[in-house]
Amino acid sequence: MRWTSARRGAQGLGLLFGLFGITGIGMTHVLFPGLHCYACPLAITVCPIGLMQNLIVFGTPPYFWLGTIVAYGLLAGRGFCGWFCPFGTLNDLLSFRKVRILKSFSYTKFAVLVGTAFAAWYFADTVFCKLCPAASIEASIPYLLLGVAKVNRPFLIHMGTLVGTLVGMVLISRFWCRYLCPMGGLLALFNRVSFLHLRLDPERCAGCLACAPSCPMGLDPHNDHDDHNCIKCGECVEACKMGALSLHYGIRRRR
Amino acid sequence: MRQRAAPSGFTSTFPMALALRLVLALALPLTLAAVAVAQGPILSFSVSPEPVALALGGWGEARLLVENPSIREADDIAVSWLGPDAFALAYEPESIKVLHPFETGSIRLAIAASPDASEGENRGKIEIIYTYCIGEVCYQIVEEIDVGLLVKPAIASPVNGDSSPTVVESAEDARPLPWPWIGFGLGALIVGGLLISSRRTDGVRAAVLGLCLVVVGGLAYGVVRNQHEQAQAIGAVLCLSCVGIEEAGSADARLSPAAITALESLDEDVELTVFYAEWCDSCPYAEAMVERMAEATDRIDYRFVDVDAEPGLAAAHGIIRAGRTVVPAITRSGEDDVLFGIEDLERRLLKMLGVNR
Repeated sequence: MRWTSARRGAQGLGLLFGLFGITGIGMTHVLFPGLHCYACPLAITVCPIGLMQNLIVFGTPPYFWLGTIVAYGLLAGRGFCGWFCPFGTLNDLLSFRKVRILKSFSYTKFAVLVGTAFAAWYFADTVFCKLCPAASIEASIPYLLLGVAKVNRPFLIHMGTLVGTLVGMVLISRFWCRYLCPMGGLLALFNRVSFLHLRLDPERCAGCLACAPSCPMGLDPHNDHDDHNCIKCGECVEACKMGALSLHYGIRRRR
Repeated sequence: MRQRAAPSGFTSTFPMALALRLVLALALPLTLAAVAVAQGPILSFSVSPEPVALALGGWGEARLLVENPSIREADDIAVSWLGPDAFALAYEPESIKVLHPFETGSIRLAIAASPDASEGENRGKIEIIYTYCIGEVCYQIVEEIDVGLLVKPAIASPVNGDSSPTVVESAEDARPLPWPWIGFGLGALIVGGLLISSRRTDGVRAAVLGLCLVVVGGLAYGVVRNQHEQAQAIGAVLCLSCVGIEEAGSADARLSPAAITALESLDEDVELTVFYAEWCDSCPYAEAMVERMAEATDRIDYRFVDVDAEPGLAAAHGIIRAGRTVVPAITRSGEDDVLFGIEDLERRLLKMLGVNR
């Protein structure tokens, strides 16, 4: 329970940080380390995917963006998905069926990432934002309640993608994070070098597979403890009776 | 688990270490030489759009973008026309007084073509003079740049008999492929592929070191280029078409006959306020729509308010909420309702005025 409760606390902090605008403190220059729409009336941070598209539209080389993303990648990699991202937290709350991952589909999120960048360049518009389910929940619905937005075509498209993603999340745990999230794809690139990492002690592992059903990303932790899909949530660490899996922070040792 | 090689003798590690040192020793002078070769003029200039479209006897507008990639400021950047004589600058362009390091400035150019200029593609020359100081020593630097001109046949004078020159909108130029970005993307894909596919963790330290350099370099240069503030500015503007406040794209602001009839039945004096911003693409449509309505009836009075100039007023009407600006927005004096966006604007405005049947 140790890791789970620590993680719930961190996810609460992530939500608080994401919705810091509620305190009345204005916008910051900080990029959010997760998928969190900056159009959200309470958001004070900048969505990395939204900024990426805008920079592509403007044709600005993204030095600041790149530095921040690589920093986040090194600090925790996809750990941010498991420990911080509010949309990941929503995925977590709807994780009822921890089914095994469809491995080949998990690369779709890289296609989504590249597609997002390409569409931004080709249409000179933030196309992904108009489909993003995180924006549906954090921007479209709040602005409808504020009386600014209306129920029209763009709004209905947002609701469509939201409903589709929610259904997916209920059927497959962390559906969005596994297969579609471009931010997850971005952070996944750094998963093998990030300081937060899962370690397996092969001498303790009995190969009992007790860890596999616990993984919300549908991995087989004793084989895939270095997978690009690992969100370092620590569920498998809790599940392992032999203490073979552990979370570590720091530069990895050579094997 | 793979066994680590036992510490071997001096002889086996020596050539590798020597090679590494040689490479590093060569890399430094080579980098410096490359920087020296790549060193261009201090300021770099470009004209957008290129070519500048203009009509015979008319004029075309363009912007001269001036980028200062150096670490010192440039002062008094002034522009003049060198030739050919069939063209001229329609009015004296404003000079840039100070261009700070790593900033980009722009100068509006209005290039006029005399009626006897030749149609088709032409080339013109402009002269740019600026002052650049290193410590106490100042230099006056003169540069010439070429401007492509696309001269179109003269257009019949405007219907309203206005004598103002005709402005030709430059054609949407085909965007060239962004090669640096494609290289950037390919590089990212290769690095990403290596990072996600490698089963070995041997190279982790080197990769971490390299990535740390990217972090430091990216953040430092990004902050020097003011990109953190740019990021905030992008975040502070709400993408209207993203959250369904309006559908992208705008048509001509024109009133339907039914609307004109409805407006004639307006029986009280109304003041409308249109909140707009310089950077807002759909604001001109909202402004034009209100102007058309005011033309149809003399009961309507209106004013335009720039939200960037009067943020307090905009915030009081809820047009700036939580640091985020939503424009165009139209308010009616004495009422709290605000119309956001331009979708279906005519009908919503008539409803606000209380004349829609």
